[in-house]
Amino acid sequence: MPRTLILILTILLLSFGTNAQTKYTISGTIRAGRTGESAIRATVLVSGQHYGITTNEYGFFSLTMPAGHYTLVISAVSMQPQTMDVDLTKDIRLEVSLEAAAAQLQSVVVSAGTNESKLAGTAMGVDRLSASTVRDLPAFLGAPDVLKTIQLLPGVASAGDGNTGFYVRGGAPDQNLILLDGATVYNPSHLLGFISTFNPDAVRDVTLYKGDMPPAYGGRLSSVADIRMSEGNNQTYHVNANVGVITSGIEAEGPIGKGESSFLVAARTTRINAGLAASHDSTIDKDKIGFYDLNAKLNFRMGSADHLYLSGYLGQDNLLIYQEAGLAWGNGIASLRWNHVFGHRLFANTTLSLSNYNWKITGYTNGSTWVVRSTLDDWAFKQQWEWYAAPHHTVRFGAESIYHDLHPAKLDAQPGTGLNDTSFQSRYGWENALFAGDDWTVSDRLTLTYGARLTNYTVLGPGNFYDVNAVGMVTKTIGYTSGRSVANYFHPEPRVGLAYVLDSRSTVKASYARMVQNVHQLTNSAESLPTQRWDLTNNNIQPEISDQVSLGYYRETADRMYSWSVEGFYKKMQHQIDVRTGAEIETTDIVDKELMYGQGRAYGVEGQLKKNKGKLTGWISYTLSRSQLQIDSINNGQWYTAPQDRTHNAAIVAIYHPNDKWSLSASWVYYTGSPISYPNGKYNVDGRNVFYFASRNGDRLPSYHRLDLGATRHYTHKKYKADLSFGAYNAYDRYNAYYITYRQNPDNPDQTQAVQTTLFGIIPYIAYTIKF
Amino acid sequence: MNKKSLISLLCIGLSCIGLSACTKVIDLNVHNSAPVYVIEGNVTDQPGPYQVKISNTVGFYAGNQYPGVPGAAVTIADGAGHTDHLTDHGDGIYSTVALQGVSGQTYTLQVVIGKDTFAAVSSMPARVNLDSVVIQPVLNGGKTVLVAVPEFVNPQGPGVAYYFFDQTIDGYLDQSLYYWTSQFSAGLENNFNLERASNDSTLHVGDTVQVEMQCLDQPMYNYWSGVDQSASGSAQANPGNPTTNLTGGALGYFSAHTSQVKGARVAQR
Repeated sequence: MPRTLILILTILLLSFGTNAQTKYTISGTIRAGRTGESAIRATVLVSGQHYGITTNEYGFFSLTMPAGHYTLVISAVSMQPQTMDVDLTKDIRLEVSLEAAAAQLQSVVVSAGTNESKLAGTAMGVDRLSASTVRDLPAFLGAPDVLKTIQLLPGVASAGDGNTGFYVRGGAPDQNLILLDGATVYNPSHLLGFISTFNPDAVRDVTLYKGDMPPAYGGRLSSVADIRMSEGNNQTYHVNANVGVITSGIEAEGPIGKGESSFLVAARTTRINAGLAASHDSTIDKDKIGFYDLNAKLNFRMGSADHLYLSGYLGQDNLLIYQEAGLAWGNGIASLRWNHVFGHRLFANTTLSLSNYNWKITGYTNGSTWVVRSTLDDWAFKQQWEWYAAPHHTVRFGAESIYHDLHPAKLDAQPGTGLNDTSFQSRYGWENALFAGDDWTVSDRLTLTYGARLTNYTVLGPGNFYDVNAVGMVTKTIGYTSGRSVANYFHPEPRVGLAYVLDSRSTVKASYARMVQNVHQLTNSAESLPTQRWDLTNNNIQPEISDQVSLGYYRETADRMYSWSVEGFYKKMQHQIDVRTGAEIETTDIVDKELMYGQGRAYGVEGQLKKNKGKLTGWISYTLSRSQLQIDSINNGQWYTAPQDRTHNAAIVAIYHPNDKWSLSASWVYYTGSPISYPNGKYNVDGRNVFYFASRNGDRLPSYHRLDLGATRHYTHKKYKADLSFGAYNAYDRYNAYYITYRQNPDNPDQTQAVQTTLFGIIPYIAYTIKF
Repeated sequence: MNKKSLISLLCIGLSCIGLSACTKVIDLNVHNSAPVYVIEGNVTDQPGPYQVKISNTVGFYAGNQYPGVPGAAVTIADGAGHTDHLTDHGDGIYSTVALQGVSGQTYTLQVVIGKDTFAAVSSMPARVNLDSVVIQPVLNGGKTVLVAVPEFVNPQGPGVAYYFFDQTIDGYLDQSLYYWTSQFSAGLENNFNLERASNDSTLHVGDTVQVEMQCLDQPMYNYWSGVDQSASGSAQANPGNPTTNLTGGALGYFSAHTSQVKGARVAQR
């Protein structure tokens, strides 16, 4: 083994080596001329050579070649390609501005991967969506939504109506890492999940990794959704206002110093409260259903080597049943990022971020109130370097450190409520990681990415920690003082990807990735509430671990009109968590007593066929998969279907642009109903009917399907542009099951019956947007 | 605030802008299991005899009659070494002969049916005195409803008291399950009320309410909480069988608890 290792290392080192020829580097930043925003994943091709590179997420590229004369072709999605002649006799720094393509072309931009070919690179299971794609699709109640759009991609399943949660390749919703400008978003939902927290006016694009995560990412098992806010136009001022059935918003952006710095602010709120207040029904006119969110971003270019980005998000939901109960929740996020280019080949990004998630329950007893609050804060630092080491190697490495500060619940009760002030123990954890990876173009046909992430998690005091036996009794309590290490977990996470180009139109790829997760959401129900309890890895809760292998085949037609792909995956998950039947996890301090541990597995095949160009664009995606859990005390230790299993999951998306004035869209989704348990009998205790369940998740809700239709009329005036959008959610009025309950037949007390609850039938919508 | 009331609030809100949720009765293709034994045993601090009921599960769409299982050998032993052999009444009901339940004692139930043996242990905690039951108005969804409130003082501790309440309104057993603990209320007067989980949750003038308050041990509290959340047919938590203190694979429970009954009449206000 050591000999093989030495051999591999030698080959690697040789592959970095330079030959005698003198080499120089062209580096620089590519921007969109009209807005000044950096162009992400723009390509720089050297004409007549096999060289080429794409810009990183800050628009930076670096290309090292032998001295000589070259012609560069620089292109980006929805931009006019630009050709440049370069005399490479010394290192060169370029600042390239690309002009927007003709309007007609621009609106044809589609989807997942856009025009960028999926054939390139080893990255598997990666999908990209731009805000423009999201806006082209039918919107839920007139509010375009990035997280709802992600759910139309292969391998991604919706958690159902009324849930922003989504399942990636058989993983649970808490196994998705959702980042907004580098900071974690713990609850991406407004209105209990009816829409997501991401304002489409402020979001620029989303990258979803579901298989082969780059080593720079870690902390969740199933996916990374990396959402980036728009930078703001540094050339001219713009205002964009919209009014819809549920949400209304305004967005403004513009230069602070022209060409150098810019700002963007966006705000949204809902008008439901006005509807409630206008109601003549005294039982609801004082209720509240409200939310708002604010996005703000500033960015400053400081010379040619430095760039500073400051991003903020603040959102809050507030539901209130007058004098009975209230629920509020929200996220607050701030991140500061600093790009610095050392010389021509080393790009550095430093991120400092704070992420806060909080919820508050208010209760009323005899006119006195009690309040329960919870907060989860992440303080994070991440340092990343990209070293364009050699023409065929790009090395990315760095370090990340996150301090978690969790306050599970604190009860403040007024006198008269019959309750005492109570605090559950706070929990602290420190997550540290070192990561490194290399993209190695081995030959014209073979690309290899390999790397690893070394994760260390320290459970920190102060607090009492418990030994718990198999039936959930505490057998030992150990107190720790502040800052003391309670437990420490170290995990290497190898990541390997391989791509082999079969011919100019097809590629095969394979990958393996290990992921580790130390923040866990505890749930005993398929439907999610914002108050669902989070917990950190401790002496009982082990870090969750997943190992995923995937294999894929990608092909496109010569004119790139059509492309299709098939990917297969197998994912093994360790230390999965479930909750004992009937456990009240929200009201117990020592939640360890209520948990059970086991393993999971998910496997499947997903395919996508896409039409990339023309008046009609869109895709068909289909996933056949299975997700299972095995926990000793459930189902007699037999494997059972996980709540996030969707055997069949299909989506058809079509966008039609007949001309400049209209765009029409349709999407249809179908998936196997959620696994549930039907009663296998009933019995009577204490004068009540009780239902008997012989196994866990042996049955299904009825299958879910829904058609959404949308149309947008674009108006262009000299001074402003306007869009009028209308359409229908659930156009053929399918009554999809939200849940099934069992009860005594109200007309015949001798009988029991099953009742299906549906959230939404057909919902028409209309929205108006105006841009200055 | 539970999930259902939130969802219904949201539905009310959405209905203001023209949307609404709906329910319908559906036919389920259920797979009825073979009958499973259900054992329900109680020992209280009130004078006996105490009953143990043994029955079987029936299919989901069968009528609500649960056949009793006669012919079992049933014993309840107290911690002092006395074992009571229960009398078989032939209809699935068995009753104690001489046993007197006392707070602080631990009781062991054993049931032998043919080759199957089932057993359970339950401890009767100290009694928390139920002083009275009062009728109070509370606000619910903007309207005032009348509810019964059991009046008692939660013990200061150490330890936690667990309560279970049965409410009978004009002779009919309220099907809602009421359970509460002193966990967050040590030393305070109770304010937990018995508002029914129903669209019409109010009591009406003239109603006679009887409330039985039980003080029980933690496993029995967890059992009732499990029945309510996972087995009562509501969609509060993943469906499942509540964790029982019975060993051997039977459904049901064995509960040693204190018992006190107080009543109130809803008067004109």
